[in-house]
Amino acid sequence: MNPLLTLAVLLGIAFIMPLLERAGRSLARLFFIGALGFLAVYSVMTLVELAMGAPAVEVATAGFKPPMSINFRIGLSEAVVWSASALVLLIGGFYMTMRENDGMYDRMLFLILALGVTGLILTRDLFNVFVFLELASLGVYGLIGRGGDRSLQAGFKYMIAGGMASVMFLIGTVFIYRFTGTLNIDQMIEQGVSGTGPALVSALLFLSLAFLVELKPFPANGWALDAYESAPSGMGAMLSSAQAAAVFMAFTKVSPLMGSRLLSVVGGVGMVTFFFVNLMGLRQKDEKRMFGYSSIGQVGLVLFAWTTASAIGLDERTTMLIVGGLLLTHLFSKAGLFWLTGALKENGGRILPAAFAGIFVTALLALPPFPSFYAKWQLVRILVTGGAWLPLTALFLGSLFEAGYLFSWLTRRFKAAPADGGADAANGDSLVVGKRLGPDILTDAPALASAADGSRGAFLWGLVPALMLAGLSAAWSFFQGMLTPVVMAPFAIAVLMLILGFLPGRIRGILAVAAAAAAAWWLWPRTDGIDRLFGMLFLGGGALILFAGLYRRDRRIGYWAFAPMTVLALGSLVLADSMMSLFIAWEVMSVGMVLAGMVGRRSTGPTRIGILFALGGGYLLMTVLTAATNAGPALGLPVILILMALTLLAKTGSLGLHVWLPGSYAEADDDASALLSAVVGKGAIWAMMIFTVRVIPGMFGVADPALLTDMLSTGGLNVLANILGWAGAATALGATLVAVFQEDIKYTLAWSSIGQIGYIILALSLFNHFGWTTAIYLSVNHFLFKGMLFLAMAGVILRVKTRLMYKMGGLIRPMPITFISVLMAIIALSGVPPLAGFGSKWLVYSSLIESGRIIQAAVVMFSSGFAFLYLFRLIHTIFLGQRKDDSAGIKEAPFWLILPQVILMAALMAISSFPTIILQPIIDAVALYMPPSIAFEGSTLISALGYWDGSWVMYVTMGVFMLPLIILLAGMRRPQKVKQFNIVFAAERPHRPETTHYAHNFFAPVRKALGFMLKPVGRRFWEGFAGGVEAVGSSFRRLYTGNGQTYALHIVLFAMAVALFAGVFA
Amino acid sequence: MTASIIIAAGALLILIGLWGLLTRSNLIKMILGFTIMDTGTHLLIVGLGYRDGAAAPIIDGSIPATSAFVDPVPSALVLTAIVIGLAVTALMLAYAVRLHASRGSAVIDHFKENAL
Repeated sequence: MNPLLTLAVLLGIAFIMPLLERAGRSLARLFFIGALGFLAVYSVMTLVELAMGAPAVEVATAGFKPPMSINFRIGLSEAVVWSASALVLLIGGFYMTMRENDGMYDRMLFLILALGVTGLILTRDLFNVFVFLELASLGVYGLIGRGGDRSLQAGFKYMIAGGMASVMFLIGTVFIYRFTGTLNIDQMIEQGVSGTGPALVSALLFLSLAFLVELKPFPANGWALDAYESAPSGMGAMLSSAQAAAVFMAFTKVSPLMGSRLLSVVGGVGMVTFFFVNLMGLRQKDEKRMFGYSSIGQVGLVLFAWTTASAIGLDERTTMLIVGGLLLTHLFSKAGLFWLTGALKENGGRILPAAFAGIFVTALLALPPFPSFYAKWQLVRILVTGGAWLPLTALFLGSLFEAGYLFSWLTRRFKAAPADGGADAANGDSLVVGKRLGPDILTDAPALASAADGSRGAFLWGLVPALMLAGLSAAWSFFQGMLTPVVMAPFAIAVLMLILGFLPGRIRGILAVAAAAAAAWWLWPRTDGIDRLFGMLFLGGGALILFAGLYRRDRRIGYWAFAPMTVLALGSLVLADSMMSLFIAWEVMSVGMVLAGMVGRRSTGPTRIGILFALGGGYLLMTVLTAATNAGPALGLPVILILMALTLLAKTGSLGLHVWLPGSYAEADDDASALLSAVVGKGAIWAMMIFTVRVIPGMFGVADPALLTDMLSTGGLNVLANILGWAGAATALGATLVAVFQEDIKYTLAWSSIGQIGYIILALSLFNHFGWTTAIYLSVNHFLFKGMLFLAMAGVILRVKTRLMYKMGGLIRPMPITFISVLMAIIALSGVPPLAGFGSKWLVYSSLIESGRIIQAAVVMFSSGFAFLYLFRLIHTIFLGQRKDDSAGIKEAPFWLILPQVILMAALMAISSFPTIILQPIIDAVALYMPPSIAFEGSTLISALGYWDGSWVMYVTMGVFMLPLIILLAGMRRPQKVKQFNIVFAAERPHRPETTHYAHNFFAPVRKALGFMLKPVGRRFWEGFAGGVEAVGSSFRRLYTGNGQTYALHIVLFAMAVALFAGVFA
Repeated sequence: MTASIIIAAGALLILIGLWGLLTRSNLIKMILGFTIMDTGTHLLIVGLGYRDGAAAPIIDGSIPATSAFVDPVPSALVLTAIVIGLAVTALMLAYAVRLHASRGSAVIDHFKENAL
């Protein structure tokens, strides 16, 4: 069948639409959808044929061969874009008739738009491009104005801009014809017109300007933003997807004509547009206008990617991977967002729409496994290896801006409006658990079902684009060799758990635990050394902590999808066998970590900051990983090391880069906090080690794992290691100080986690056998005691229903097992004999002193003493003292929380009594990479400085503890039980527990002494930074006055600026 | 010579039209500016195809086949361009009428509700 038939069908049915309308509306509708359906089926069939290896379809018209006639060509890239656009047009047609305008004229205009889009994609004749461009534009002009009064205004402005573009197109076309004597694009390319004479350059410039204006460049795009804002949602979807894709396709045909200079100017305009519109989008509150910013930015990025690929002469397959990946992801996700939000009239949490919107947003942000991710990876590789730092920076910053506003929007849009908790938040008592602000999206499903009346079925508009994205993701993953079980497992579990969302939470929880445990079992024989140790910590430990999550009975749709995803991603991380799979696992882990803790929670701030830091760190890491080439890395070793260290310090929340962490950990679900702190936080430690012994040496083609660590520990790079050590020490001290003054128990533990990771980083920064043994041993210990603490607190919060410590007290009696768990954990954390913490402190100090880092050792020794203040408070304020009136009649924590704690306690006792069982494997594992410096003799660990025997420490301490205890118990006479208020001060009997249990502002004197060190410098810096960026963005938005004439002037000025850069006046 | 005059006139008309589009705030006058610009473009197209002293590109017995013809392609193109320009102008005018009906004003400054 001749592809021209599609044009005939679209045009014919548009023509007879009035007749059909007269015969009956449903008949007209049927023909309308039928025409679009025919287009979709035909284009998809063409794509399938071409994908099976058929040659490109060539069509000549009017019985002549080109160049005597207009010809069409459908190659693979045309077929891909054509079928994608046709599918979007088909759904868009449904959307328009079902939800927006169902008039005769709307259908006619829509068919004309489809006609223009098809022609733009297929034609190879320059003047014919103009004709189809105008046809598509006429459809767009007409349809934009169908949204009411304001959309009429926007439509008029759009027409003025479009009219200017078409004049420029005509001038360019006719001059090119004058110089080449043909309108056939292929013949022009064959003859080679580029770059001869200023007149021809001007002609090409006019042509480029016309395309640029149609693609809405910054700053000459106010009219387009107005159109996005006020046109009906369905029209916005078409404008940003099918129309933009078609114009872009037409541009790709003529771009070989343009010289390299003009092409690079066009690409520069694309990148400038991407950067600035995303910057301006930051403070955009109007949803559709915000999507407009994002759409314009994405198209700019596609343009930039295309010109970059053309400039370096990239092969067709990779070009399609990059440009097609970006374009198609944008096409489906943006159209999906417009439809979904257009169909959802009111705000608030609804599970399916929220899930689909989440998919679209993550796809736009180029997270794995979406095609845009692979595209961005390859694009970044080109930029990094080519040393194009300016575009790279713009790309990363623009992406971060986009992430900023899209995620804020997502949380704003799908979080139910404050119901009854608003007042609580205002008076500072929002920490009370159980009084959340409105229902949680993904946890309180039944509460939300009733809120969805007006928008029932809205999710269906997200379903098809989401399915398309899923298919494309599979295809792109396959092309990149990433469609392997190891890489895909985290995505598979998340998707499976979301699909199983109708099941009760506990059943899905058991599945999640089973998945993590099975992964651990699978991973054991496939790894060795550090990988195996951390793999077991991630997956085995993850399974244990996930198990604790069973204490909650609700459905927890988000948690049971993203928590196992994060845990499995850690497993994929350990098993990664290429730079790309490593990065995918890293990115899924980082983002999954934020999602697992935050989805559905009331606090949107920490989610946003957490996502931004996860993405920002990811970009740095991507820079490092894509620098690897066959001929050695494109970056110097110090740069690689610094970027790597920054990534990992951001991930561990080290001082200065910590602002995201306390909120993320503390505001997460109570068991999720345990997972994040005890398990997921260790991912960066593994990465830091493996990068220095395997990944970076691999980039330089060095096989010896000890080469780089030698350079870092004693060689020329020692300075860097020392700075890293200082970062760790400063983090340990600073975070501990802050932890002391928290009233909210979860913030205490979150800050404590930051501090403890500081110790690990400090030990790790020694880059020798002793230091790394210490670092891993600390990691294991931290997993044990922080797991116990967070789970114990989950139980306490569940029972006492507050997170504020001073509202607790006297819980030792009702919650004895929890008390023992906390007691053991704080003994282990503080480093008091006999538990494992003593050993780890001994190792830290010995290893530091051995390497001559005396001052750092002193700093952490001080902070470790300080840590005891907040640890003491955990016992004193929560478990000792007087039980508060509110907590009468509470019980021990549920079994699900107690069991993991008991297992952790048993493990802690075991490794404390017999340190060899964990330390020997660690020593052996590290010895795989560097020469050992410490060894066991029996149960005694011997270093250059001395020795430590964990078992004897245990025996002696237990003896010292037990002996007086037995004597005291034996000598006890007639003990008397004392009631709660059986004490008297100043002849007055207290009646309230608060008067006898001093708990609030506990360390006031310490605060007086050290408060000056607690200024939130880091937070203020980042807040100021973010505020400044937003203000700059806002000031650029003043360009957009809303006046159509000013917009026309923008286009003229823009054209002159482009001409200047293109060298026309030179 | 004739061709140059036509081309120069076309360019001049484009600039005049652009000037009108950028300086007149009445919707109708802006549209007029646009049409003048469009007409200038059409003249430019025709002018570029013109050959001094050449015959019209109609092949019949009265003209020897060896003589020079005016390039027929631009003339064909300009017909299409005129038709499209007509459609766009008509649509613009329709919008102007609707805008005037909705606001009682035809001044572009009064239609900037979408700013920021």
